[in-house]
Amino acid sequence: MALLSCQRRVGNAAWAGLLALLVLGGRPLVAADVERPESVPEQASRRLLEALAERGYHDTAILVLDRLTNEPNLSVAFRESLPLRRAAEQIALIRHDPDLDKRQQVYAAARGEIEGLLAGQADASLTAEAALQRGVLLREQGRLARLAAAESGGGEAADLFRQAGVALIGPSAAITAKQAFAEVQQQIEQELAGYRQRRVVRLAERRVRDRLEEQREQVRGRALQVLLLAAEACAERARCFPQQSPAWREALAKAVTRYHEIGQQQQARAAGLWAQIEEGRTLLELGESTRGLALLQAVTELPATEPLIERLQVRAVAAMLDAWLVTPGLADDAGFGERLRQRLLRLGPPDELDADALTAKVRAAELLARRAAADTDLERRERARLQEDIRRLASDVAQAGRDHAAAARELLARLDHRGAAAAERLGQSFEAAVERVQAALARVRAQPTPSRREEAIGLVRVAVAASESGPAEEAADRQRQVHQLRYQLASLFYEGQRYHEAAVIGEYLLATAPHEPITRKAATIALASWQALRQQPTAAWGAEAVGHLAGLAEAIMRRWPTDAESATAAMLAIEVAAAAGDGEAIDAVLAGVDERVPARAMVLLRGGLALWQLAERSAEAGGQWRVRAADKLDEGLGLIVMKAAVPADTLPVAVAAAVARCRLLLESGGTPGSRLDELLTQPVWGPWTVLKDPSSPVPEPLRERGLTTCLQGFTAGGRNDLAVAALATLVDRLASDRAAAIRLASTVAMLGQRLVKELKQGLPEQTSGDASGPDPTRLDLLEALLTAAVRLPGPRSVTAWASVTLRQLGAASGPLQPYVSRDRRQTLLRLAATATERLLADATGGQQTALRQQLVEVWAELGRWDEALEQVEQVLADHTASRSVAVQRQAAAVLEASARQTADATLACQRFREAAVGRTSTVPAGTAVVWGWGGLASRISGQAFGGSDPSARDLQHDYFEARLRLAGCRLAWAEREADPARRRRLLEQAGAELDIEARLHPTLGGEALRVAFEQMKALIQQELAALKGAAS
Amino acid sequence: MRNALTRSWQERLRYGGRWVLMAGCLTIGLVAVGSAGRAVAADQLVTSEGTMFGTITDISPDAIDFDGTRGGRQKISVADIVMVQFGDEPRAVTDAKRLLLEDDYAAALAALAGVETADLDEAVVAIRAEGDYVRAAATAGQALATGTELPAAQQLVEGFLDRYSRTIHRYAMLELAGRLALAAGDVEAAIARYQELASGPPAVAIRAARLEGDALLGAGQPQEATAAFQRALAIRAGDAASQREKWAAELGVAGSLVTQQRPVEAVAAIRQVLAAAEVPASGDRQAERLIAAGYGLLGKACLAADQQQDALVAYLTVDLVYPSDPGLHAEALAHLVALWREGGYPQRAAEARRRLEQQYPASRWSAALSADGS
Repeated sequence: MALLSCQRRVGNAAWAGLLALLVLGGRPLVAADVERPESVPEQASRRLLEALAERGYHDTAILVLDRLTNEPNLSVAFRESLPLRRAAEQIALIRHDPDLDKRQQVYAAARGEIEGLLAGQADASLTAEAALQRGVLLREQGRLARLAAAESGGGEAADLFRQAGVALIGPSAAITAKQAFAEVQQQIEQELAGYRQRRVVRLAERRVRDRLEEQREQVRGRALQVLLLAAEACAERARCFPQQSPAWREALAKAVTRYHEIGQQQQARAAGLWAQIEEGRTLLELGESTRGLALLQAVTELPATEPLIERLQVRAVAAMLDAWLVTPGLADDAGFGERLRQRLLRLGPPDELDADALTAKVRAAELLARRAAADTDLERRERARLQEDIRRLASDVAQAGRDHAAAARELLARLDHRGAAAAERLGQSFEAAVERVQAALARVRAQPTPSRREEAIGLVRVAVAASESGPAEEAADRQRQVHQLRYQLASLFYEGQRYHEAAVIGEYLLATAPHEPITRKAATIALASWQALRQQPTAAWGAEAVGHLAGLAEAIMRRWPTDAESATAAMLAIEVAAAAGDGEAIDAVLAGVDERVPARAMVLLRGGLALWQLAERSAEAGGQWRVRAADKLDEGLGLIVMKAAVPADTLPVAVAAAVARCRLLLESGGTPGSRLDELLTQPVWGPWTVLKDPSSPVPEPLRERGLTTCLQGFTAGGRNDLAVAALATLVDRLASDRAAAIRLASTVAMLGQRLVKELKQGLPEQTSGDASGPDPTRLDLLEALLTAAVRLPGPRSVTAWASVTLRQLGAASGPLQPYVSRDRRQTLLRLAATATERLLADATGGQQTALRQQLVEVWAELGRWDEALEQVEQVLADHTASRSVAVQRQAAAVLEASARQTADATLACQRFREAAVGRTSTVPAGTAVVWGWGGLASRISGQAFGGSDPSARDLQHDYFEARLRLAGCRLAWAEREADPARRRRLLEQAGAELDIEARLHPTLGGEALRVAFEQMKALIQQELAALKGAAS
Repeated sequence: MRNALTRSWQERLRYGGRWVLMAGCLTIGLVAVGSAGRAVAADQLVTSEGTMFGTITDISPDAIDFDGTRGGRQKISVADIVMVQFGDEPRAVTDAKRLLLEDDYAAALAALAGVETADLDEAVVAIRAEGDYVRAAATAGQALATGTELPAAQQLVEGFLDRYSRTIHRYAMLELAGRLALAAGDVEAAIARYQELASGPPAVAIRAARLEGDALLGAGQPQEATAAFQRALAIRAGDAASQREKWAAELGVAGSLVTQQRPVEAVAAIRQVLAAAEVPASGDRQAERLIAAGYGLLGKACLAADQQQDALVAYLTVDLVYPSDPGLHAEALAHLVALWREGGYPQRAAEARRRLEQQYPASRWSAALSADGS
């Protein structure tokens, strides 16, 4: 196929150049500021680009454009035109590439560039050019769609051709190319009018005028090209419909009208002649042969004053011959008379014949053969002459070895014994062998069976062998075709999974024909082959393939340092080095990537990612790789930071790289600063931007890692609202994945612990009077983290941390109490209860006593005394726990607190009593004994005052506290007691106990407790005095 | 053809300053006669600014005194003059001069062959000088392009210089004499000729030093050449022609760098000159030639710096954008043949070769390619 397209390209390129001449301004005009003198480098580049495009040297034009990006001496307008020029050259270059996917990609990229220009505020000339290129692009996309839809109908293709027409001449497009060029032309005419009035024009002004005149010619040419393209798009649209259908007929008729209008408007120009020929050809296609032939005939009768006219006339003759050959009778082709016959015979030599000339010659030969066969009464002499002409015409075509060569050989073989000998001779030629290869390749493409592939491989080998014979002067061209054949061979081997053979041929081409364009593709096949061989089960062979792969990648990067192949090779080399854990190799590959390579950003990102992963795995050298990874990731991300979009297949790499860079920033310690936030929220590939959308096309592991990084990054950067949103997204996303949820829970606990610490550190001193407190959104984040920690099926330690933290934050005496509303504290406490109960439910986790104590605290904070006391009893039913001072303190305190809180005086009195002297209850687990404050004090007094170690000192504190609270309970009990006598007794008992305590332990546990004791004593005395007063 | 009397005063007028006053009176008389009787064509001066019509009143190697139908009397420096056309010179001489301007030497000589010998013999000395000038310049141009028939060309040029001392073409012919001497391998003689130009107006003096630099550079003396170029650059002048010569001198400095194996510096210097140079106006072949020379030199420097792709772009610029100088164009095509072949484009290489052989069959580049056998 590649060979075939190569040949077609010859013809098309020739006509592309000719078309450019026809319209007198073949290539993008410059959006120029004519008032400002153009610099020499700009003029030279502009004209060079035009000339290169006219010659079909699009690859070289792209080379020039690449160099211009670094050229400082360009006007803004010219610089702005570079992307469009590049897109136009890319379209032209890729137009005949057999790789349809690649074409599609290039077209899509070009479309983005063009639409961007049209949507912006570009200069009028640039807008006009962009509008034209949009039409050209749509036409090419239509052609591609037609190719792709050969079997399924061409609805999409027809629509694209229609859009092309609309983009070029309307009627409904916002900016048509026709209208845009008309506006530019008007502007130029206005500017030129100023010069026409002047009799003396100075040199500097003359330069401006020259430039304007040059532009005017270009614009006229471009406007004409727009019309021709629109007509062509119309004709091509027709070919998307079934022949003779109304849509087909309508579209062709429209094309005829358009060609006719151009022909009439441009009668004196070659473009008019071209339009007339196309009008004639289209009429023939429509079946209007009389009109069509008349138009074409008129063209052939013009004086051929220059080579261009002559070429157009041959094109017209070729179309006429096509039409005559399908007529039924000999009389119908009488128009092909002696004049035209001699003219076609004279065309040559064979290697200089273009596609139209070859068509004209072969059709003429066929027509003459038809005459010879039909007219049996021909004189011998006349027949001999006829046969001689057929022989000459067909031989020229067969000898040229391009279009119609096979048909010409067949014709010769049927002619006579001399013709048959010539056909055989020409058939043994290299060209004939190549043709057979093309046919075999077409069969493989149509149905890729092993047998067809083997047949094609055999024929390619024969053709390569045939290349050794042939004229020396054609050696260079032949050699090029041999390279193409070898590439086909490599391709066939690869498709047949004969990877070794494919790799060897690919590498052979790289070594022997490094400058051949096809070698790039061959090298890619070799690379893919070694990669396939790397996966094989035999480890040693796999390792050998890796060695080859690395060597080949390096060679490719050296050979095409600035091309896409280099990027592909570099990425493979990085993959291989990463798999081997060889950071130095990754670094070396990255250092070898040329700055101009198109996918440099992707290579850097992949390399940076590989280095980062290496750093994560390597404890010793991790720091070194972290620094290098950060450098490469920054460089790569810097290259795509301004992109409005990245292709879908590269988006995950960009996101992963951004995630890695964020992790490096987070791991570096210190304040991450705005860089972290910028990365996370970058509008195109920022992890948060992409991953918050559940439909974004990224792998799940990346999604989890990325969102986790977002959560950590936003938390670290104080973007609390985004952190909450990231956490919510993560929880939703990972709810069904237990392992991921456990990982998330750990992260949440870690973040929460840091946050609590930070909040505590940030709280103002209680004495400072600063009531501003922590950022409320920070508290929202903490609540969200704690909620997630409770709800996620995380490790027990996380739930335990959450339950404790929630209880602390919810407590009335907690550090956040001044800043957290009561409702929010209640919520936190309820969550704490849920967490604790969940922990308790899993008895295997142990710590039942501590958990129940925790639960008691929570219920008490919530004022849910029954639940609290129930838990107290559960704890106390455990005899070991019941002997704990802390447990008994808590039990007494709960009883006391519940008594103080209740409005029921009887219950209050009972609870005060129990808190003071203890109680015993029976619960399902056994008997629960509360010592009460008095019992507690009695039980610990011996230990508390029997030594001076720290534990004794702690017990002394507990002792005095118990004594004080005992008095407090009696006082409160007395206050709630209805019977005055009992009340007095209680007060007196409390007072007496305090007196005894003061005598026994005069220090009363230190200054603070002593003051409390005295205050308690005073209160009791006040109550007693009040009681006496009331009695008297 | 004017009558003998008229020829006599014009001849005196043009070659004798003392006749200027009388010429002025007679010019008035002539115009009066002309307007009463037959129409007499005015003299024309084609300058870089445009074409002027009027009467040439005096000629020296440095300038022409011109009485224009617009703008009155003025002195036009030789550096600004592109072509002189006397009102009564034979049409064929004018045509030949135009062809000479386009470097179409063979056609110029052919055009001159159409002039009746008697017409020229009988013409005033100024017009005879024009005819001799075209013959000598075209012959020299051909000899320089092909490297053949140098002695004959030298003889014609030297003869012209001996015969005509007060001609506007004197500096051009001195330069040609130098170039012919250089082509014949006599660098010293060439430099001596170039140094004769140094007494001319600033643009000519700068050119003299620049040509001397070129000669020294060609002779493999880059340091001496650089000194000559620096001398050219040191001459104070602000007119457009001088500026152009200075750009050429700067290119000369860059050329010296290439010869001294400092191609990377040369590339930067050439790019600077090209960026500063003025865009040639349409038809300004001298300016185009300068730009073409710049790109040709850039190609050479890039090749020396092993920057093949940049060299390709530079030579393509000469070939496709500024091809008006046959020598530079042929050289560019020859390099393109090699660069395309080396880059893996045999068809483009063949195409460049075909064009070189068709357009410049007699050029030394074409001959070198044939001799190379590639």
